[in-house]
Amino acid sequence: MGPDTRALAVHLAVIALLIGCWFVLPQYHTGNLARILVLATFASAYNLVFGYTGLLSLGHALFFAAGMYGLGIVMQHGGVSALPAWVFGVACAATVGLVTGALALRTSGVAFMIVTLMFAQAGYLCVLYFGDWTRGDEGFVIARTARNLIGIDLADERVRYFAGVCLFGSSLLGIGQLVRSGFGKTLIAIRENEERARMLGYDVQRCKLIAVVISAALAGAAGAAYALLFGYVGASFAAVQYSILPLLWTLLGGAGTTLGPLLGTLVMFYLVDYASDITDAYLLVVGVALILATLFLPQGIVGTLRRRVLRWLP
Amino acid sequence: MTRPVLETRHLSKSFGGVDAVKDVNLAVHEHEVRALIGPNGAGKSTLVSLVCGRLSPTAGTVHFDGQDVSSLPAHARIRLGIAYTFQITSVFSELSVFENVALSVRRAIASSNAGMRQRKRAIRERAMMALDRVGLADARDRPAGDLAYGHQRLLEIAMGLAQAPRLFIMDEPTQGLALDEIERFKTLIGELSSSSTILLIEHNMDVVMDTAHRIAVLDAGELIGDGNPQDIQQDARVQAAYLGTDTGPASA
Repeated sequence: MGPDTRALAVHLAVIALLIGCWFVLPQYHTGNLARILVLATFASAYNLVFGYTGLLSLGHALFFAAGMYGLGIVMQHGGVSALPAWVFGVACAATVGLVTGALALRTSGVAFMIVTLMFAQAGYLCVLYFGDWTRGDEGFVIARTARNLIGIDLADERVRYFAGVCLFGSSLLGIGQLVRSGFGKTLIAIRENEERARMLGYDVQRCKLIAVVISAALAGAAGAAYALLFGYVGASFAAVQYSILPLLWTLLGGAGTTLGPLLGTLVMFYLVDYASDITDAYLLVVGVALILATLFLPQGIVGTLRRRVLRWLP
Repeated sequence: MTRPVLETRHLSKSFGGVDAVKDVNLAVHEHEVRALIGPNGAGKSTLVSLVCGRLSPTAGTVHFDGQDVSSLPAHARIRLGIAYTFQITSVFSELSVFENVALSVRRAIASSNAGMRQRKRAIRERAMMALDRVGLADARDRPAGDLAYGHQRLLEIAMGLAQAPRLFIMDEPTQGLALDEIERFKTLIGELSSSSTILLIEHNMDVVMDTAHRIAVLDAGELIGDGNPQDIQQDARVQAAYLGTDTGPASA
């Protein structure tokens, strides 16, 4: 089996495992997993820019929220149905990615981090400012009757779970394909040595911008799906926390690996879940876990596994 | 004489008042191996950086194949058929040796409209051919960062070869190579000059004398000599600036 076929086989096996989980796990966990899958899609989008292209963005909440509010506002104020609203949300996020990316990519390193952070903060403040449309801090609930995809009730537990599997599964296969393609190798080359890539004749700026737009569109797809599946659109998803979270999930799971974002999101979700059962200071537990991971698993869970034992991991 | 592949006209670059390159007029002709020598800090690397667009000049123009490329960004000049190897080894260390060269081929044949499968095969063939020529075919699956220093330099040369460039610019390619690798490199240069034009920054005078058809000498940013190896060896200004006045060419 060549490396390409093996990567595909691993990804299909993970998707099959996720489908299987529905039949064996209790409802509490499948409910969690539905949420985790949508967030892991967001983390995968982040990973494309951070893990594969080597761009440390601190503003991905902007793209998640652009998808979420793009969908939410046209559904709430325009009475648009779920599917076109979702497409609109993705388009919003891609457009925001194109515009902010084109500007932010004029900088690099620390300046890039700050510029992306500032764009995301501006987005957050816009959400608060245009309260007539967004209901500001409170956010708004999308009515259950509207959360309906060609007759299927998206609020139903089972539909929600499999919608999550579909979203994450297609992003996993898509990204798996992308990072093994010539373009994906170019992104990795840019991460490894930008100047060398330029001096091979690659238009580095253009490649980075394409990566940012794809990432923004996928983050927006996750944001819009989150609103649709869980029925809530809120300003907290545009706040700085949602820019940091995908970074942490990706770091914990393994940056630059296709499965890292899923594993990182999963572990972090349950860490928070169990820690908050024990103590109110659950963020402290999460912090300690992250420090330990940085010390002992600097490449993240999947990254370390790949380095030490399973070299063939995608 | 054939027309120049590369020509610089009154090319100058100053960094905050310091002239790194001063009014350089250089013409490199097809199938020529041109060495560029000069003491440390003479502006050799700055000059080639101006040629391939990593730096923009303070004054003057660069012409490639008769076309003024002064306003083109670096990647666009590379696409016209220039390959460049860095003075400080510069490979994609996390990627395999093969993938390093494949990246180079993939870009070079990006405009061909062959089918997917044909293209994949062409990339593999060209990459392996380039690796073969520098003797790294057996290391194809190793991460490039694991290679010994000298082998990383050879890998860089392979990345340039794989581009099949019209003009191949190498910045101190033999630095850190073992003696037998240097011999191999000289042979390679000889073979290459039949299909390509080479601009070589080099400190090793053996390599320069054995491979170069013409030598350009830079000192304090100025071109102080440009001619065939014998003339350059005898040129008084060059001897004073670089070779030492009474010892003759030293083997570095």
